[in-house]
Amino acid sequence: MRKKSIVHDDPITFEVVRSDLYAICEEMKSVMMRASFSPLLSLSADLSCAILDHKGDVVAQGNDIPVHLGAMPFSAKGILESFALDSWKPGDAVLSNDPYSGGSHLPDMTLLSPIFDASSVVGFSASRVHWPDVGGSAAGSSSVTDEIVKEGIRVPPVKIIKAGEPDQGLWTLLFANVRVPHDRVGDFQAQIACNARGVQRVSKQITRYGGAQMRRIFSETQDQSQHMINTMLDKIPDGTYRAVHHLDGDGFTEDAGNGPFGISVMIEKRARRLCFDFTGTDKQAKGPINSPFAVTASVCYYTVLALAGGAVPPNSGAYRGIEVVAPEGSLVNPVYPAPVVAGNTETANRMVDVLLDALAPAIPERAVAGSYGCAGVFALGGWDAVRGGRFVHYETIGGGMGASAQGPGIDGHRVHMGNTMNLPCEAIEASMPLRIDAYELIDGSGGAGLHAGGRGVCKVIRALTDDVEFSLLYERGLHPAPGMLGGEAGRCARFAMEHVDGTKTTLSSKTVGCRLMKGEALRIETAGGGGWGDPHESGD
Amino acid sequence: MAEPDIALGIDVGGTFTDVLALNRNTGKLVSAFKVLSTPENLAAGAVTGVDRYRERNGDPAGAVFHGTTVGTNALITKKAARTSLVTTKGFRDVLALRRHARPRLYDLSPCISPPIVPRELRLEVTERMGHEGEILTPLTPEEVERIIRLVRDANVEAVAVSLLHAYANDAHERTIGAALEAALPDVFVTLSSDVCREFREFERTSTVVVNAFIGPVVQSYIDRLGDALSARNIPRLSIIKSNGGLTSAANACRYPVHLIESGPAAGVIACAALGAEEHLGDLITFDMGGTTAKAGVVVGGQPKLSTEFYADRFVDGKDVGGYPIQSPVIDLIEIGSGGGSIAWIDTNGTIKVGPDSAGAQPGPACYNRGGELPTVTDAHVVVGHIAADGFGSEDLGISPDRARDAIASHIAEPFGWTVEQAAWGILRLANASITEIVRLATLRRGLDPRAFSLVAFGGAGPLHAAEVAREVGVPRFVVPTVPGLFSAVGTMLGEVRHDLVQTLLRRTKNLSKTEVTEEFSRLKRRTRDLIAAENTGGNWHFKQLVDARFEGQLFELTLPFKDGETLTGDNLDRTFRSAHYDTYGYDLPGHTVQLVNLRLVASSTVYDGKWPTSVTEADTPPNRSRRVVDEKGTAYDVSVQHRGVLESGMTIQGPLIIEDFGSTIRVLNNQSVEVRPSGVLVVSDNEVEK
Repeated sequence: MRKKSIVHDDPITFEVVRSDLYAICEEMKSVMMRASFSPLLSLSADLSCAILDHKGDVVAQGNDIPVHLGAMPFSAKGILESFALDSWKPGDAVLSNDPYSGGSHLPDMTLLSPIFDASSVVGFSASRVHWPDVGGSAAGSSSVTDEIVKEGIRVPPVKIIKAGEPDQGLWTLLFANVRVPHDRVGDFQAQIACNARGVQRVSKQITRYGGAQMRRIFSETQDQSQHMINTMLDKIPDGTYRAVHHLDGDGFTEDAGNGPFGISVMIEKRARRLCFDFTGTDKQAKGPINSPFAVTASVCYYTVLALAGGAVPPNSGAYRGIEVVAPEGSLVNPVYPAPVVAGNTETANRMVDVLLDALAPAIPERAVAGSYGCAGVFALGGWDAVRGGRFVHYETIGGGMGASAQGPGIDGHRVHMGNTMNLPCEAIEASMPLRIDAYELIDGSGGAGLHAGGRGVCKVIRALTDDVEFSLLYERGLHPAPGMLGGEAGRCARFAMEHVDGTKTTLSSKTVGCRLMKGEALRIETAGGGGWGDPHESGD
Repeated sequence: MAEPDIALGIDVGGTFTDVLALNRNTGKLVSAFKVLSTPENLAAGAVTGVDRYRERNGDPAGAVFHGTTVGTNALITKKAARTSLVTTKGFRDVLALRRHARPRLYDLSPCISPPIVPRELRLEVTERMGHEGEILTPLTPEEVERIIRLVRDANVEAVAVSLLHAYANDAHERTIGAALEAALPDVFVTLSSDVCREFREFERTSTVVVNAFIGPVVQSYIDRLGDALSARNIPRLSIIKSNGGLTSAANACRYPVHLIESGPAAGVIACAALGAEEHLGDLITFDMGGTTAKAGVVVGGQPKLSTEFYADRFVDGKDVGGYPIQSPVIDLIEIGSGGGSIAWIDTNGTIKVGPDSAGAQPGPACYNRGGELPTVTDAHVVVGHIAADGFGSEDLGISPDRARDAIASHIAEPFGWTVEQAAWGILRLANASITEIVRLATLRRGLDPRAFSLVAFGGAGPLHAAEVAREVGVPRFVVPTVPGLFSAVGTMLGEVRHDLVQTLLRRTKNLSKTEVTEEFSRLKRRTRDLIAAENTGGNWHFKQLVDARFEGQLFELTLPFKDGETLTGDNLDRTFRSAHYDTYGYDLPGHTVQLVNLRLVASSTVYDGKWPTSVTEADTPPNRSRRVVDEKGTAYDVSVQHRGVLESGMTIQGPLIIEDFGSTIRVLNNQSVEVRPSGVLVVSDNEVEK
């Protein structure tokens, strides 16, 4: 017999409140985008919002960014370890970005604001926002270094707002350590307003339905998702599934073979438990490709939710049957002071391909070939002689997605763990001394197959001023996206500097500290996705 | 000779074409009826409406005001023109790359709206503009020749030209456009700089491509309708645009993309006009028909517009991204919840309502036309809201037994509930989702519903308004005369409108005392020619708006200013900071306020006569009472009155059911109905805190 639950007592109220919680997350995001100062937030929407319960588990989340959302409970729990539930007051807010306390990488700043009923904390309004700069050695805080201290300011959980009043000391310290603090303050105020909107909206529900009822709904929303995931897990045959893939390099060392950057997984499926065991994965790298545990776990969560096809309301309940084993000191669970900035953006996407590859024999009808394997981050900056000021630019580029039984892979979009928007070329040219010569799909870059892989993207960025310093953090420059069930691999990513005299310099997928002189161009060609099924069967 | 007094308002929907005849001199509605739409030839349905009017009433009509979904239908069904895109070299894939985010997160085989123009028809031209309109690569005559050859060989019916930074300099687009028109006179040619003069290449290109794609279909529809009207001596055809303004047939053919929400916009316009006439203040518009429900707002007498719209965004209930259209569209939140929405149980054992709809065919189970599945309308029939003699329509009877059977077998029995319990479950869920769109249209945008009145219309709107208004916290709701055909009223009430924008990037602290006032005067002078060309004869009204932001933000807040209001830097600065505080809850004292755009809106109403009064009906049935079951399962008798017998000045206490032509109005306990002299019903709710 099922226990008595609100889902069964009052299914209508349950559904009304649950829908509203998801709508609240969307409303929080809209506040953040409209009020913020950075194009990365207002145009690209590199941010995620959620409502958490009093334990820090996700109850509802926006249609945002999987790597943010899956990792959110880890940050929340890290914060709750520092600030026990009874220490919170209405109007407080705690900030953290620490990958060694549940965070993903330093630019992702998580802010938690408590929601009270008459007696105590019912839950939290939470946002994770990619700040365009958090200090460190390079503009945009995206670079190849050998320790996290060089990646920017590390903020362990701190109570930045106490009962509605900012802690002036912390505030001053924080904004003294980031580039263009004027804009960062504007962004942070928008983030505070975003959380406040969540608190205000959920508080209204509490007034209406009562704290006890809301706690039940918070908990049963998660139970329901767990139940739905179980139904999906029942369709995956029990067994042990394995795969190993290798990364291109860490920015210090490159390797086209089965060198030092292997990610190994053994997935054990037993009844309604799915264990992702990364034992055998190589040790943590010197460069920033290390994936903190929260990121590794969110890759596993994403994969399971995606296999369920988007029908399951995403929240922590969906993750209960998932166990993640990641050896300490490895690429997928690094220890201090390993740098991590690209773990979240690049390595995480490669890991999804490893998991899907491993699971393919178990669920061939839902298997997906390899994708372009990264977020495609490039950052650049310098002195804009025309406008008379410093400029910083951070952008991601889409690529090919792997094909599946359902059809060809999508072309030129963000896949898997990320989902920010691009910046319009017209917006880039209007605000920076750059010209975009081309932004197009690459013919033939998707792997052949009964269903072809998605095509990669070519973007050519020309400098209109001297000394534009840039960095690239990409993947699949050396390891193509594998095809599946007879499908062929996609084309590798390629990177080059095009000089004024017509010559070219080939670059690696992780490049830092290069400069473009006026008239020189950076050509980025992202990888194509792998094909699915035997290409000779196509055209039936 | 003066135009005849009678104007016809025609709203062509998916199922029905609504026709209203208004005497513009007396303000009387002389006729109101519905004819079946003819999906395969929508113009024919509209013409049938005109002919039916002529059969019923001999008075000649002088004008037809028209709302249509022909453009939307063509786009959604993809039954439109074979279209080519001419674009700058290096950018032909902008339509496929979109903004590179997927519409759904957890989906291993994502579906994304395919580009309307396939890759082989996306043609690149060597030319380049800079963002300030400077020519970086000139367009050569040889290139133009080559493009014309390619377009000719492609054998297309329509061409969109969208070049990078054309919003800053349209010279190259105009050269190519003129050459194409000269060489290929039968092809529909449209330029991004003409249709959408805004930056962001994907959104602009998408807009002009949709314009091209639906262009020939809309053009042929409007031509056919215009010809039929001329043949019937009706001299004027005005079409309502997505922004609620009226446009001539010629402009509608040039900018069909501006008609994409033509039908729904008419309803909001009707609300705005009703609000002004009845002094109702700020309004929530709530339109619920057979398949969808829509909510919008009218603030300060003006419908809220959004500048971006995603057409064809949901396929099988899944978000596939859609086609962005950069053109002011009356901001409506729409969901697939209507009277015909089907109730079902998902794999998790939860009841869902919609988005599938039984539509008009086979219709709800109670229509007895072959529909087996339970719908929202069936639930109303089961609990007694809708009588067995139904909608007062001769050709539609209601079978309560069919409704009970459908709800019993599909919902009540699986849960072990009574049929009434199950029916209320369906109604509460339908109310929950339509309540959510009303919230999205208000609360989510920081608008307090307690300060609004909700106007309920469409066939099902007045059935749900009482609960939706109470749930959201709206203290009163309003039911206009002929609520079921209210959108058709709106087609006649739109205004001719011109929006002028002048970018003025200035910090408030650097503004001279008179600078903004002078710029507005200059904008006003620019409207003179436009006004002269319209020949509406009416009064023109002007509205001044200022877009401002903190320097560094990318989105502005739009601040309205009255004529003659002080527009000094100090005042603008104060007004902006206070608006920002109201919207987001904080001010940034250390940050500079920057003006971005000045906007002048010049408008003139075409019909500025009296608010239309209702058709008088021949026979009205006597008042009676009916057994209904409430949410808690209690059965009681509720008074049922016919709207035709309600007298001006009456106040009636709920609970009450009022039956009207084509629609049923529910009034709950603690709600009271005031009958206005115009026949408009205003229902106040004593349970809602004001």
